[in-house]
Amino acid sequence: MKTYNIEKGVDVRVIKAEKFKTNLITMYMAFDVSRENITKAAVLSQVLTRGTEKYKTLTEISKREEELYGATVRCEIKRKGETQVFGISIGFPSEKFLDENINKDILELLYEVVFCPLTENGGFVSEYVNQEKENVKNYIASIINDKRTYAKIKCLEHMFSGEIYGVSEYGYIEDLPSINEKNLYEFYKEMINNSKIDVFVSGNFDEEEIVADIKTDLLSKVGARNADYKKCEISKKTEEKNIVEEMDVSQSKLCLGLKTNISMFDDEYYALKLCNSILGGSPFSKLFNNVREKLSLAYYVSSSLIGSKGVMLISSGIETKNYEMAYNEIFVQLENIKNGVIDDFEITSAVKYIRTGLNSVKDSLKGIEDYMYSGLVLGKLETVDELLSRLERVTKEEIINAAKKIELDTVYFLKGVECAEEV
Amino acid sequence: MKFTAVENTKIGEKYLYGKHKSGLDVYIIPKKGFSKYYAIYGTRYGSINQTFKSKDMEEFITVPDGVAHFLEHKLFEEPDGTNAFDKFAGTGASSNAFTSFDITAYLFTCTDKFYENLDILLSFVNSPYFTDENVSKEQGIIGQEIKMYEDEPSWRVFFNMLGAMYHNNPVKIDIAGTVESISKITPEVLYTCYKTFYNPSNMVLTLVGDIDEKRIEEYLDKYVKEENNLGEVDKRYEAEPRERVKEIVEQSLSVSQPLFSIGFKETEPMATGRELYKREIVTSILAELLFGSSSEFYMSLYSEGLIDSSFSSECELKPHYGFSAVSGESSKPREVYSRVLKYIDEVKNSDLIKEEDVLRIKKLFIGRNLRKYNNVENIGNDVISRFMCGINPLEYSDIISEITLDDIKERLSKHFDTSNSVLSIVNPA
Repeated sequence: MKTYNIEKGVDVRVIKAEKFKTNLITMYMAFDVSRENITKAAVLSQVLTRGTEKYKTLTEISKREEELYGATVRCEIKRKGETQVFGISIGFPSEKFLDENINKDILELLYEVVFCPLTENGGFVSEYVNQEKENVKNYIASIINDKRTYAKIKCLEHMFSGEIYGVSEYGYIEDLPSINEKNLYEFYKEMINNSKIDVFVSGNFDEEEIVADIKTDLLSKVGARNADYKKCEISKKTEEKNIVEEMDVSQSKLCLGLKTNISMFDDEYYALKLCNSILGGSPFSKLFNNVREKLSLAYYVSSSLIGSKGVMLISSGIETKNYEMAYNEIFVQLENIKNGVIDDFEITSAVKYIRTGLNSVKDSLKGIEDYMYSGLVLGKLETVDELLSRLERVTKEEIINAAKKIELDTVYFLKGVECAEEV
Repeated sequence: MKFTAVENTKIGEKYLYGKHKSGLDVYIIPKKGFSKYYAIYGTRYGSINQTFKSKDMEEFITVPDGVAHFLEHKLFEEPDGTNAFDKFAGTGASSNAFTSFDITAYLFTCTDKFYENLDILLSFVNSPYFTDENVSKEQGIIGQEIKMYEDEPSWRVFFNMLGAMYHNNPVKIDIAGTVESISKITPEVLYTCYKTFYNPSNMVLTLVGDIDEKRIEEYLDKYVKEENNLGEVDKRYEAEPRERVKEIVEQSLSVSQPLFSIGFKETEPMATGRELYKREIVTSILAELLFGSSSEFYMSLYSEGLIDSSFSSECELKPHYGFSAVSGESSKPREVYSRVLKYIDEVKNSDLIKEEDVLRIKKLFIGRNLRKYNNVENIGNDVISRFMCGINPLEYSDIISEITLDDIKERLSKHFDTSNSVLSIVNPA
């Protein structure tokens, strides 16, 4: 990755990758996570692709994307620690496989969407804003449709209640009524003018040419700003929470939130990563082999880490009546790691499994971009090779010590209402 | 073992094809510069293959719903009590499997030790081990998988749609079967299906990555045996009436707003090979023209709040079943349905589809096809299912360029029959 500083707080990052058929340009704007901003950001991410000065409707934007061989303009909101990221990207085929040159037109389309949204009376088009508020409302409400994700979100919500990180990534239905075309436009201007901007250009380009084009064709209106990513601290255990929610579903979901007391900046983090992989982060994990394969209690059971907050989540789908058995077995397996019941094979397998995952990142433009940007925002830009060499040096003792720091914080149980007796 | 190359210079892709002496078809898609390798080893056997006869059987037999999927789970189990995941753990590969209507496939992704991983893959798929005990254990795990899908609204709305469409075609049956049907599965049933469908002639191996084709044969010789070659399997499908079963089907689940799927059943005589491929591409272009985000129809329903960006169309045409579906979320699914039908009839009786629109959608599809070749897993998954239907996936761009407005109009009149359509709705409980 090569960085070109354009203005204070505005950087262009070029990632050369010639093996792909497509290219990707993303403009990221970073701001602090806050309840006040998150719902606005959700609505804005929809409104920006509704119409621009030149392409006034969704239909016209879609037609333009199709003419440019299925170029896709997307807005996305991502959480990186306590930094909220608003990204607008355009993915498009590399010119060398086409009968025509499209790069200039691609930048023009991205410029239109980012800098020339359709406005009226000093705000966004009210019809677009109202429709998208309704869509955001429906989207937030629909999170419940996927019970596995829903259970994870609820567990995190209870775990981080009262903390900034606990602000929902999706926004709040009750905050929608106060959003209008004027204050949303103000939010947009504020973001464009004052947030930290990183433009990632990934794929197959003439580097000097594309950086020059980005400067003149995309960032012409962008000025210097005093902006940076927000640093975040890990979350510590307060009191143990136990939440049960009943619902008319066939399968119950058990989601456990644990505090690891280890941050991604600590030396112990590498041991924690291996501990997670051995416990439930791989298909050869203790949870998979015992909760699923041996006891036949679940189809899925796995663990994952949120490194920036020092949190581990364990998630599974089970029969309501098997709650205690599954819960106990999960802790038996965690205790096993704490007591050193770890095979050398498990450790080397975990390193290899993580290595495959990390090397795979290099095979996707989005993957490379996200890896690099996450590193920048979170303040730990470590190459894949550096990370792997740290993992390889971790000892069994270190894994045991990392495991000993893990403590249960939140138990969330989505309890299926018992169905009729099975035949 | 000789490999021959087929190339598409325009998109810069090629594949090598070779036939192993056991009867197994092998395809290699060379990808230089990628970290990953991908291998997918599949059989032409999925949930729709319940009634069949192999060369060494006297009569046709019918097996319970969900056997193909059950077999997929069980093949990972090794005679020594371990499972294949443990072996892949030793090399760092990431392994998985899936069962669809017509394919069961085993796969791995790795970034090194490719040939060692290939050895593991060929070994575990070729060494079945089923006992009463391990079958009964799997009934518990798959039982949980079935329950998970019972709560999955998008899965339910889709299968309910197929149920409304098909009288006899087993595509309407849930791939995993039911808790009741899988309780009838025994080791004997599994061995019979295994012998029949996991015979080399019925299987395809696809490898993607920077692979030396000269090294493949030795691994095949080790595990894929000529004596297991039973030739083509005689698969029987009951005749399917042209008509739908019923027009509207509804279910309630805990969802926030209704989900819907509008289905159109393929009633033309089934095709294979290039003809099938072209028909699918024509239908997909047509569906995009009618319902895609650049259509006036999409815009009006979107503006009225009847649909949101989840509104989309898909088309699946295979030798033994086929349908198009238009799905999404809406507070008024019945109104969306009646608008869709009215609109289709309007387009049929007008010149609403223009040459320039077709050209634009073709460009979209050319771009999408290129994008597919960015990812070794996408390539492997797409091409294995194409090869199994006798399709050369590198012909995609040639087919696109030969499609005319008349092809599209003809498909519109034949496929989108508004008197035979179905509507599936999942309502909030």
